[in-house]
Amino acid sequence: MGGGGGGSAPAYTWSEIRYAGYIEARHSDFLLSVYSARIGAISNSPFSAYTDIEVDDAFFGAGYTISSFPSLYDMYGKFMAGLDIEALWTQEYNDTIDSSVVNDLIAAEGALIDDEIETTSIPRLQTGMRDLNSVMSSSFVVGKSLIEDTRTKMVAKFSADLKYRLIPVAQSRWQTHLDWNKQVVSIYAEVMKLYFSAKTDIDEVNYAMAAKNILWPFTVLDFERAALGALQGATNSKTDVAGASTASRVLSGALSGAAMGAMVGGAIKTSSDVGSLGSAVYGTGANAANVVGYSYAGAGAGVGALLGIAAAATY
Amino acid sequence: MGGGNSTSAWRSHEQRFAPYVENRHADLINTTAAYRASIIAEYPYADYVDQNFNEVFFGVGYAIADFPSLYDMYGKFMAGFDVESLWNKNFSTATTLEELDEKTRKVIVDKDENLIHETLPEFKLKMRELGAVNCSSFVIGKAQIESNRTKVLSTISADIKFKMLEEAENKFVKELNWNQDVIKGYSEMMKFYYMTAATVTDANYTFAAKNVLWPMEVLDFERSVFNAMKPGLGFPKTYLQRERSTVSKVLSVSSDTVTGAFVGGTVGNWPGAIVGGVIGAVVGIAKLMFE
Repeated sequence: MGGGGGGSAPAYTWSEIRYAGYIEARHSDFLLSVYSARIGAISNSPFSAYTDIEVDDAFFGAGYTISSFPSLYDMYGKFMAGLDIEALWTQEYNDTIDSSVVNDLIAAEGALIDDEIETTSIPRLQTGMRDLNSVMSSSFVVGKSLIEDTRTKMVAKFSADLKYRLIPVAQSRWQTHLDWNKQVVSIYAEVMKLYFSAKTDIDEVNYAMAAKNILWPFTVLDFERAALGALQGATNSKTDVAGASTASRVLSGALSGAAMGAMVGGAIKTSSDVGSLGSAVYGTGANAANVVGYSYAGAGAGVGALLGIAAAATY
Repeated sequence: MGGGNSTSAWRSHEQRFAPYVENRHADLINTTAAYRASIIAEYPYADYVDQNFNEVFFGVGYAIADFPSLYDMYGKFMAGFDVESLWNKNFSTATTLEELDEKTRKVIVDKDENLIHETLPEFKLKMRELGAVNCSSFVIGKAQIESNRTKVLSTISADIKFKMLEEAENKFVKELNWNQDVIKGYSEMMKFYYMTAATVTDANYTFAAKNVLWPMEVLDFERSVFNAMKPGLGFPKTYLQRERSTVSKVLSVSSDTVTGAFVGGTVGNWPGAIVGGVIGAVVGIAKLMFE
């Protein structure tokens, strides 16, 4: 700053910026107020008592993690890729046609007929024959045999009819079992997707709260910083607590996305739902090729998605 | 600056404005300070009561960890569920109902009425006319009538039971779907819980922070008036620069409502759709509130 010649230039210069007296007086008072408010707020973090929202306990139970359960690939191998569908068909066929409950039903049918014969048919036959003194004759024996013969024939017919009608049921059960296995794996995947969505979003909430707690002094001090520089045009850099604002992100984040996509799974349909039970059970045996139908939820999700796109477009 | 003159190292710049501006500015500062002093202790957020979503979801004194985990429920209702025993149970239940045999007996009693009052008397009458009452043909004839009765009985019983096969299969499939719905519903509830927990927790702590920061917020308004004469500065804005249009708000809420209704519909048909729709609408409105 000094000139040449013999003059000596000062090593430093100081520049003081002053404002009108009334401003400086008020600003000084203002800074004291801010300081006082800062002292009250800086050690009073509302986030210090925050308790993390727990996710793992709700999904897996206390003390368990996702690693404690079968992996998705294990489940896929067990219920789908590694499933012996031929053995399953044989198992379903045998279990449907020759199961103990089927044999019990046939036996019960025989018991019902026996009961009716013993309590109604034979007494009625005997009563008439006693009047004729024919109880001891061969005709009476033949007559009783006729009734017993019919009983045997009817039980056999019932058994055969029942088993014949159960053949398409066995086929339908096999299909249902396959669909069920598919659903088991699909829903396992959906549950896993939901877990990671929830975990990601809730972790974000938990860590944001922790960050807000740690940054709380800076949140408070930022107001004081702005107050100090007020005359120079400094402004408060935030309108929120330091740390991410989380709620809106969660609502529009992965968890909400899961709400759109998750669980729009199909329900297993009965063979009558797909229009073939009449033929499957009572008729020619035509079977449903696909007894899984997808509910209207998929269409609903599509409508919701379209409305969402429209909402975004008109933002 | 040069020559033998010494240059002062201290420079003082005082920013001044026209007296009428300074007068008005002084009045503004004083007025702001007066308002600040009067409202700084008024804490409008002090009486905010935290929303206790846990009580609403789980009941007083309970937390989500007190209920079966989602994986437990999944194991019980899906992966570990015995599909074969369900079929046997439903088949047995549907085909051995006591009512089925009662129905059969009721029908055969009606047939017996006809047999006792019409068929047998007519048979006896005709045999008497033939003088064949005391011969073996009469016995065999009566036995044939009883045999036919047994056939009718068996046919009626079989017809009724065969019709129940469809019911057994329907019940079997519906119970499997029900198990799926239980898990879907549980998942939906859990998802809704976490969305609510995040949103409400954020709201609770936001209000708590606003309460503690209230003096700072008030003083921040005062800060902004000190430099009022600089262009572009004003009271701090607390709202977003860009707001969603009304049409967009309506469509956004509609989108969430429809999605909620259809997702709910998969879980619980019409009641589920209604509940899902309400939940979707609430979530949609909440989204708008937190934007």
